[in-house]
Parts: sequence; structure tokens; C-alpha cells
Amino acid sequence: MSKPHDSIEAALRASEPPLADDEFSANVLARLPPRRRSTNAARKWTMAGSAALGSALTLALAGPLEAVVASISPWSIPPAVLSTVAVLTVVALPALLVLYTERTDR
Amino acid sequence: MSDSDTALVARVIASDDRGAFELLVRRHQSAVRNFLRRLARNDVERANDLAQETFIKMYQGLHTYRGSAKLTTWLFRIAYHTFLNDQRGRQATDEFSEDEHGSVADTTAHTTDTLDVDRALERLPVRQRAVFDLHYKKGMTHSEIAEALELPLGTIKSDLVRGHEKLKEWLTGGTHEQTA
Repeated sequence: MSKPHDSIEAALRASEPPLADDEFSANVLARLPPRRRSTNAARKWTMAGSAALGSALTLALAGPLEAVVASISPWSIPPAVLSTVAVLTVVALPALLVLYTERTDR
Repeated sequence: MSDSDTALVARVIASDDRGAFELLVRRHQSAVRNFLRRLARNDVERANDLAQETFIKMYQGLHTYRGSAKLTTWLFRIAYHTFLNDQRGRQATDEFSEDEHGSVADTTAHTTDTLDVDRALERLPVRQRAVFDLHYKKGMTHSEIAEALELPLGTIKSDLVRGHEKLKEWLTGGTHEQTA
């Protein structure tokens, strides 16, 4: 006779009542680790900012810098070279910093 | 139309979208909490703590989710292992205690209702409880359960058969048998 088996099967298949969320989801979200930084956006802004800063500094300091270099250097260095070196230095330092922080974040 | 699990997972991975993650938690919290309640023998507080831990582990491991299995299969795997780790941490035995839970067989004759079955399910070993819950309450196939619990398909099938035999014996007043 299969009646007991059928009733067990039916009871097993009875759907379970859904549990109300209450504060469950909020509690989970509160326990999540801090939001990770958006490295792509940070990288773009750092590079753009440092390029702008480098250009501005070069524009402002190219003249005095050329005079200083000319007074201490036996060779004549063209202002364009000096400007290029200055821009590269100002851009390269933050870029290296960005790369370094990304490596340590991994 | 609501976003699929896969779409929400993609948003969390791409931009750490907490809103998308909250939707995933809201969508699956009831199933996971009910599953863990079953494993924890209706210890509601413990089940809720383990469910929170499950979702946090899910968040931390989302970048490893490849989408080859259903998200729920992966989620129940995390929940099951979270429960087992907690169980190992507690030194309590997983064996059914007649003193704590009483006998179920003597409370029933031939009318079996859901409460009786729920009590009887608590007597099953943890793995069988997990298999029964995933099969009957979550509607998962044998293969999905095998994938979720990382067990051979044959083990799932034999757990269902043996579990049924025990339930039938207990609920129809047969002889008591020590759970393994």
C-alpha cells in the first residue's frame, strides 16, 4: 500500500514559505568590504592633471630654467629639449605612482 | 523586466555596483536562509548568520564565477560549505539526539503532515538534509545538486533513496534506527 509514502512525498513537495527580507539585505550590505576605488578613472584624471600641470610649469619656468642651465652647462641646450625633459619628468612621476599603487592593490 | 542574475553579476564585477548586489541578495535570501535553517535544524539565528556569511563570500568570489553553472547552484555550494565549516568549528556532534528532539514516529499514525516530515528531516544526517532540501524545496535536479554539493551523482541518488526509507520508517512507526 502506497498511502504513507504518497503522503510523505506530498509533504516533502510542499512549498516552503518565503522569508521576508526585513533587514537581512541591509545587514549583508553593511558587512561588505569598503567600495573599491575606480582605478581606471583615477588613472585618467592623474595623467590628465599631471600633463596639464607639467605644461603650465614648463611654460612658466622655461625661461629662468634655460638661463640657469646655460650658466652652469658648458654646452648649449636648446629650450625645446629642456621643455620636453621637464614635461616628461612631471608626467612620469605621477604615472609611476599610479602604477605602483595598482600593483600593491592586487 | 527584471535583470537576470548574470546581468546583475556583470554589473557588480564591472563597477562594484552595490545596488545590483543588493538585488541579488533580496532575490535569493529566502531560499538560502531556508536551506541553512534546514541544515541548522531550525536554529534561526545561526542560519541567518551563516546566510550573511554566504552572501559576503559570494560577493568576494564573484569575479571567479564563470556562469557555467546557475548562480543558485554556486550560491548553495557556498552556503553548504559555510555550514560545514561552522559545524567543524563547533565541536557539537551532528547526530540526532532523542533527548533534544523527541521521537517523531510515535506522534504519527497514517496521517503525515508537513510538520511531521520537517521534524523527521531533522533526524537525517546533514548531507541528506541538504540533498532533500535542494531536491524537494528548491526543485533542483540530481545533476544540479551533485554540482552544488560537489558530490558524485550516485551519492545524491542513493541519499534520496536511503533518506526516503528512513523517513518512511520513522513516520509510519517502524523501528528506530541510529542515524549515520
